[in-house]
Amino acid sequence: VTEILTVYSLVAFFYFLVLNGLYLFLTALAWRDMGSELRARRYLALDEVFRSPLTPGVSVIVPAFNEQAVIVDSVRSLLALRYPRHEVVVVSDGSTDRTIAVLEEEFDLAPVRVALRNGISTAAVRATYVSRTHPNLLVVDKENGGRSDALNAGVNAARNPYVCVIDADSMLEPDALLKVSKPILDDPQLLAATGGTIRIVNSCRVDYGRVVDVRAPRSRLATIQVLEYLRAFLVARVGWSSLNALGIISGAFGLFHRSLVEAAGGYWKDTVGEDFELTIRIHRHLRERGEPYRIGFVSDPVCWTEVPEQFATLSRQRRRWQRGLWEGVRRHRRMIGNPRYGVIGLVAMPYFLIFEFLSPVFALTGLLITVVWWILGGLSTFYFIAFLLVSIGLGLLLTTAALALEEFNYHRYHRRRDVARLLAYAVLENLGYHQLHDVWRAIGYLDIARGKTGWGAQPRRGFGTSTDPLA
Amino acid sequence: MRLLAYVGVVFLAGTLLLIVVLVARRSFLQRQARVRGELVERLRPVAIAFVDSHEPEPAPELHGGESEVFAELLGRYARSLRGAAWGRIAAYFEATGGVDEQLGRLHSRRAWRRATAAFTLGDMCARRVVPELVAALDDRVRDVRMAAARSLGRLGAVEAIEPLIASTISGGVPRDVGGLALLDLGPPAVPRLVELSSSTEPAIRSGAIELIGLLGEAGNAEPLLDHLRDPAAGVRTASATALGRLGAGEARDALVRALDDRVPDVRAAAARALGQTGGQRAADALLPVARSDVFEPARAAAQALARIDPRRVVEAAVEPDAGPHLREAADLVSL
Repeated sequence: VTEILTVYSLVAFFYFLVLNGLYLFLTALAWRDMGSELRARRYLALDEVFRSPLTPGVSVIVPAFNEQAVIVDSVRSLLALRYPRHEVVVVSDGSTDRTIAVLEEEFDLAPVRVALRNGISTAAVRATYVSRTHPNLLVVDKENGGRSDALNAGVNAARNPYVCVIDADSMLEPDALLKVSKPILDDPQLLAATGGTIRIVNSCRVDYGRVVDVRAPRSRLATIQVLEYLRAFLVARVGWSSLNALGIISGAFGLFHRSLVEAAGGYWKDTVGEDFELTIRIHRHLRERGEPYRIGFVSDPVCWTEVPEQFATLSRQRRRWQRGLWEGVRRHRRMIGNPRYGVIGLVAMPYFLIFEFLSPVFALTGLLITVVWWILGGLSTFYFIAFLLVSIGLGLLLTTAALALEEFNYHRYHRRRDVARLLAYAVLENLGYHQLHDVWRAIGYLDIARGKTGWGAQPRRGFGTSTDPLA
Repeated sequence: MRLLAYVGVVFLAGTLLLIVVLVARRSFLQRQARVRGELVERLRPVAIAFVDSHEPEPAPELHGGESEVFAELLGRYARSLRGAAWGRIAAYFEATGGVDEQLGRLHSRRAWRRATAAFTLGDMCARRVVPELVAALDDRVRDVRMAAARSLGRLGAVEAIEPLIASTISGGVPRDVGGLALLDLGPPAVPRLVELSSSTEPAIRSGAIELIGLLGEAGNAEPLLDHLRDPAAGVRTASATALGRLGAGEARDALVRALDDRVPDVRAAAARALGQTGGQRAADALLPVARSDVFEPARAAAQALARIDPRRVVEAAVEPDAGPHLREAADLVSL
């Protein structure tokens, strides 16, 4: 038994070293790319893109299921985007609340029998509306079919050559669409899709669909998620993108060629990780056709989103992400390690399987075995402390590097106490949260084994109520 | 085991170091932003007075960071100014040596410096730098070529039309950047574009025709008519679109014939163009397309018909064979 424990402990430790070595490598890439991006801002020429009649139109698709609390603010912010030609397509996916009613009241909707493409099959569309006050607002009311089905209906309804997908509980910054589309406009033959950064809006002050004062969340759970999002977007996505191996464009903010989404078959309905699955499918589609392409990530454009502040809701979300990851990896398993798919098949897909999907197994068992073994006296206290020191030290280093990237390049958090709070939580997240997060994801395995489907309830607080102007 | 402990300590020390750098850098950036904000507030009225004055205004005496902020303000204003104010800005940058400084950077080894210089020169209104910017269109880095193209447009460098067109069509600069630079140059670019519309390369023909549509006038429509029968579908589409933009009434018959093209994109472009040129004959031809063609041409035809004759759309929409596009157009007309 001792030998098995020793071997397993070494395997887990090796796994930990490789994983964190990869994170360090991605962090280094992100630092390098961030420097180039900062310098490139001096000659970005967004004003030129904005005034150009050559800039192609974009349809912003907003799938909405029972989003009455946030939909008006969200649509308002999208209509106010600084982009020369864009439309907003809200797809109510069989909402049972007042989503359609609040939109009708706020934007003076009129029923219009809009002709819809039937390129991607979807659940039946009940009605379509156009705003009298904002002719570039189209609302599609359809039978419930899930988020993917709503997105597909949005793609069918879109009237522009590019589609930008965002969540109903999210708000784009005024220049975000211009910034995320710039790489595609500059190289439309090569860039197949781009994604932007997601940031957390909890506790920020929002005025008329726009974040006017950025604050660190007051909720502990949301604060830790700020760190997670910084690591995921400013480090991992930037790093993977520079390797041309970006495996996911977030469903909350991504821009695609409409015809490419149609050609790839639209969003897959039998998954809760439709954004990951579509990104991988686009890679696969283009690789199999031998077409040169890139899927890029732009860290500057920002989409603000609300994150869960309750353990139960966050747990459900993370379990769902784990399921979505499995569904995508399983569907495209033939890409794993297959040189035909280049870096995405040889590096990104194995990474998703081994270091994303299986990480809770190694993290939890590795920790458990180490602790138990130490308690039983099989492991010296010195080794145990050294092990903790390395684990926590590396985690801290990676998080602080992500926070430094944010501070040096974007500097969104103006208050010193917000930065201090984030730094404090960089330490605290190691003491319980990471382990709990792994437990949630491990429960995700049970959900997969039980064949669980669907999204579950996602309560919204609304942007207006998430802030207290007097605080 | 001892090594493991050392590694852990190194990570923690690295974290502490990073935190110190972060705090120091943050303080520095905050102070810099505050000073800059104050300078912008203070110098904005001076810059406005400088560019807005009817009398020759002496350049203000500035020190240190003030010159940098003042130059930035002038550069920004230059993007929306022409005439005497433009000349004053050019003179300012010549007198302060700003133009020579940026010209020097245009030959830097670092690509971002070259790109920044190429971009900044466009905001300095210095027309004497046109040859250097034209040379920068052949830079090995695309960002530099893009910045140079943009600046040539900003400077109204008509003499750069040929290399700009060549660079845009060869893909040296992206179509949206090169196209916008040519749009900034305006109608003088049209004769050369007309020549290029007869190129043997379909991509060159369609690119040139698209720009003629944006830059030209009704008199430029004549040479485009033949391109509605071009063997390349992309050229036929560009030609129909350009004829619509030019509002070429004489193209109506040819556009009506293009509604029978075998390629849907061409039919859609022809329908949109007919919506812009108008006329009863166009309306007659658009109705069956709106009723029964495939999605894009039918939608374009219904919208074009609604533009020419809204009443006819409303009447046609109640017929049993109206199809979804006429119904949509009729509903939109009734809004």
